[in-house]
Amino acid sequence: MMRIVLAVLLAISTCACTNENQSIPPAPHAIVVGVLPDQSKANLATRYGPLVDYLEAATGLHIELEIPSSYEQMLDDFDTGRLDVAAFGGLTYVQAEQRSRAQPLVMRDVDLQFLSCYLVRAADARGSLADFKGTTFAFGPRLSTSGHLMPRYFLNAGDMPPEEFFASIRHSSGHDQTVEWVRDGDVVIGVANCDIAQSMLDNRDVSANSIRILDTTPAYANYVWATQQSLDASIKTLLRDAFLALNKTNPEHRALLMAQGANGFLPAGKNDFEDVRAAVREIGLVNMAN
Amino acid sequence: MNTIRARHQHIFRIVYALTAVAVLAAFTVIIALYMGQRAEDIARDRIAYYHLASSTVSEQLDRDTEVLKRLLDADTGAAPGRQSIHPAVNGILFSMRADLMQLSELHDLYAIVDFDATLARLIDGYDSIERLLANPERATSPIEEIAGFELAIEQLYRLHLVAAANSLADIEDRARHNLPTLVLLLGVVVTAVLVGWYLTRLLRRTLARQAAIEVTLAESQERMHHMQKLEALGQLVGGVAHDFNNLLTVIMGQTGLLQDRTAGDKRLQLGLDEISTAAQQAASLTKQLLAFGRRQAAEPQLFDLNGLIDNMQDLLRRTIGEDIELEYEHEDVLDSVKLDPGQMHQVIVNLVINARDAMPNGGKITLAIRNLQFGPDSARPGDLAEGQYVNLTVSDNGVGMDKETQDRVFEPFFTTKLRGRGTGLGLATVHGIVGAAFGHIEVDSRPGEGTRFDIYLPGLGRDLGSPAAESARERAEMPGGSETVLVVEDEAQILTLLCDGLTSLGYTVLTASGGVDGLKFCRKEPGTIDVIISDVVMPKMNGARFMKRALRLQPNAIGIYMSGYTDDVVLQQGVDGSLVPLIHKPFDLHKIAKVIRWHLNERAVKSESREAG
Repeated sequence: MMRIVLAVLLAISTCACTNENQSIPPAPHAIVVGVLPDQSKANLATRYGPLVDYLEAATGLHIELEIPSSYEQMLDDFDTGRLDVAAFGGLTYVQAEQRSRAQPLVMRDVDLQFLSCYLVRAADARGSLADFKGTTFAFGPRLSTSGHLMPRYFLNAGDMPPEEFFASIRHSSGHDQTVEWVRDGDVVIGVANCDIAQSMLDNRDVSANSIRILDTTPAYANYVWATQQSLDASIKTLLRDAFLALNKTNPEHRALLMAQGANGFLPAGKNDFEDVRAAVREIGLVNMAN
Repeated sequence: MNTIRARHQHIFRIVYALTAVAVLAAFTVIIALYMGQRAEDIARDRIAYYHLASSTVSEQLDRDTEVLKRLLDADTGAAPGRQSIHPAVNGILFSMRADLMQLSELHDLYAIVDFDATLARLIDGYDSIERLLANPERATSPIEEIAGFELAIEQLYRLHLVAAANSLADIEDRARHNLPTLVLLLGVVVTAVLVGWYLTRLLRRTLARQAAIEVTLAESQERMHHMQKLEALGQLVGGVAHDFNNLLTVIMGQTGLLQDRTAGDKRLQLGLDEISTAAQQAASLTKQLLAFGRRQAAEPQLFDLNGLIDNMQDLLRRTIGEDIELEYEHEDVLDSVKLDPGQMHQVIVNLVINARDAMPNGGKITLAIRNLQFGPDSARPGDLAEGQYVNLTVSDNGVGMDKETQDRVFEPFFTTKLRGRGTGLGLATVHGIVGAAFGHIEVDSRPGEGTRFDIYLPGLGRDLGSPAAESARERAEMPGGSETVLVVEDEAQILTLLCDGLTSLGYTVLTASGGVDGLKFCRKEPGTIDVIISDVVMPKMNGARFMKRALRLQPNAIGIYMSGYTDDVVLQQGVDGSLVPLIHKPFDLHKIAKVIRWHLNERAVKSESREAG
């Protein structure tokens, strides 16, 4: 009772108080799902198409897959409400959270303990990161969470500000390029998404004789499926449970999970992204773009 | 007045009520906020408790699963192909069942987190593990099932974790909204109290001002009533005095006639003198009455103050009573002063009465008169010019006055006497009379040491003799004549008096009781009438209209008005005193005889000079 009185009085007395929950949009005709365009459209369609089909079947909702043309486009689409659900990277999620109050839904089990790997040539005998002072260094793309933002954040935290610690810094156009630069000796040391580096090693895209993993960053949360805050709660629950139900014991699920590079999905929360948020605060989006 | 006050009281009540409502409303909201805060604290505690419980159970389940995995590994490792179950597995399964039971209970406790599906999956997972283990023909160890089970445990654990974090974030978010609201409300309370305080103060001031105005209004109304009473009394007294004047004119006139006719009889003469003196005194009394009624025609004349005060002593002693001693100090020969003796009389009476009232337990009043010379270097009171002065001092040894009272003592309506005892006009009148005579009055007093009034009047030479002596001389020289005099007067007794008196002086007297009759005489033949004497206030045709027409018919005649009224009243009747001379009633025969003779002689001198020219 007190709460109601309080709420009424608050609404009356504080005009500055805006209430986002006041207007619940009607249930969307179709749930539009956007995914981070970090690969070619074809690759993304193969990777996410079956997942979307599964979600449609599991929830009974009509779901459409949307592949934005760029990270910025994705953020804009989410901001305008064109996208109801989006698979963000760590950095894009934090941006969407700040711009559009995006709400985390689920993430792959691997995303919770995500790592970036420092790669050196296999022949290099030096044992720790500190031994590479004054050498040449390669980050991934500027806007990459695992290839740039988080490594830079942890290097700063380890008292190794990259611009001072290394003789020169380069930015690759993708994690595979970083791996190649290290292999080819273009840089002495590079940092890349561990997932990709490991799979390149596993798939023998790059020989274990030519490069090795020197070290990893501390774990941080990276990719996440997020929804609009205003999305109906029951739809959120439906989607979440569909993701959580994916289980390797089920042969159909196994293929989907393999495509996602996951053992399963876990509920995601805002608190999981404290590290990324701290990195964005410290480094700033302006520095990221430069 | 009371309605205004009532209205103000009403506004007061509204202001109080509004302030109270604002403060109450603000306090209500503050209390509500506080209660909300408490509710949130409780919710927070519940979330924390719940999260702790769920994480504990989840971890327990996780550990049990780990143990189960190791037992199965050991089992398969020890004897491959042999499908036996380690004895401890049943214990672990039992523990896991208990964990799942606890999770189900948590679900009942905390319905906000919708984890039905996950819990169901967990239980399914457990069931399939149990089923596999219970099947002695199983081909493989249930490692896949256990991995799925572990995933479900972690999902459940994180579901709780995220729900708890979200709930806490919501609470924090609301708390952030509460702080500015609280500050705003405190601001409202403070503002309401301040505004209320200011408004009440403003209102109180306005009320006080209003009250002061009311008091002033009431005072001035009372003063007006007082004045109206005085005015009415004055009119009454003035009317009576006027009628008395007419009677006194007859008494004085007839006495004069009798004195002339009985010149040889000494005893009769003495009696008639007494009558004459008494009539004079009565005339001066009526003059005072007229002065009080504001109908007095002031007649400044030269006289000796000594004589006036000599005549007043009996009156003064009677006035002050037996407890008070009256002392009179004076120089034998005083300069004459020029003002209306009746008014001077009033001045002295007023000052003596004030002195008496200042000595309720008796004392001494001193009247002192002396001549004074103010030279160019001497200190002169007031703005008096240098020259000769007569200084009259009235002093007492009564209660005295403080400085404040002294400053206001000459203000009209200022009185220290009880209401109804004094008019507050006495000293104001004194001040006015002295000022009109180009004199000055000063007061000197100290509380407990008595009061002293000093009057300075210009001194104007000596040796005039007393009024009585003047009267005797005048009587001896009552001039007569043989000219024709027309007397117009509505008062029959005065008409008779003038007719008899003027006839005895040798004049031919024509009488008329009104203007119409008078004009009949005037129409006869120009030049037959030498003097026309007319009353001013008469019925039908007033004196001024009559005189105007009469003088047109008899252009050589001399016109003289006589009136018992003040100059103001006479002027209102249309009389122009500068063209036609005016004699104030009461008068005696000598006065009118002298006026007539003087004007006739003037006319004769003028006509002679015209003929000579």
